[in-house]
Amino acid sequence: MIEERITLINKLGLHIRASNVLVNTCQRFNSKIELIRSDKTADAKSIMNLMLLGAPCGTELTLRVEGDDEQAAFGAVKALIHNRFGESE
Amino acid sequence: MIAEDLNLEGVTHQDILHGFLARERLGSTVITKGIAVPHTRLAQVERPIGAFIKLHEPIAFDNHDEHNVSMLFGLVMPENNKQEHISVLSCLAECFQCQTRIAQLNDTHGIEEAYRLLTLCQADVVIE
Repeated sequence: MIEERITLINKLGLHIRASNVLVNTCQRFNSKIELIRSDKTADAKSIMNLMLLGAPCGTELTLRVEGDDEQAAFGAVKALIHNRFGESE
Repeated sequence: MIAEDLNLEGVTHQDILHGFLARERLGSTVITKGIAVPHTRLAQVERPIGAFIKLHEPIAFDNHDEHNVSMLFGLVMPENNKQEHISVLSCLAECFQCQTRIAQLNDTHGIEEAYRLLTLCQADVVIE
């Protein structure tokens, strides 16, 4: 299992479009991928789960990945968040 | 419906429709099977306005899901309050994550009953 704290830096935070991009990336992997905000844990392969986190820009989340392709999945999700989900700001 | 509510703020139904369509072009707003949240953010708007729409016949939406959309929650949001935008989306997810509630919304034909079901979740969500 890999776990690391990560901060949302895109201006809109985990809105629907960003959640969609994240879900599409996560679904390429077998690993269980979770984002945790205080007492809420979201399955990163579910848009509804990600929306429930209610995470705006600046939110510090815990990214937890577990499975046979966890290294690749972790790298892909981390890169996506650092890349602002492909958004310009 | 939303445009009428926003009339005093100088927003027309064209502003809202164009906003919705521009947003949909960036990617589908379907959040779960059968439910979409078309939305737009407008500078003239000071508070979030939402409208729940239940369709007589489900319609195809531009997404990969084979299930058509039968319920929509249209949202017009203030342009600059990003925190509020996320909180409202979280509230909607809270509401629509309950399969029982979705079934009840599907079954009801009363506006007041739909409103009651949609506002049940408010107590569960902390708006920050």
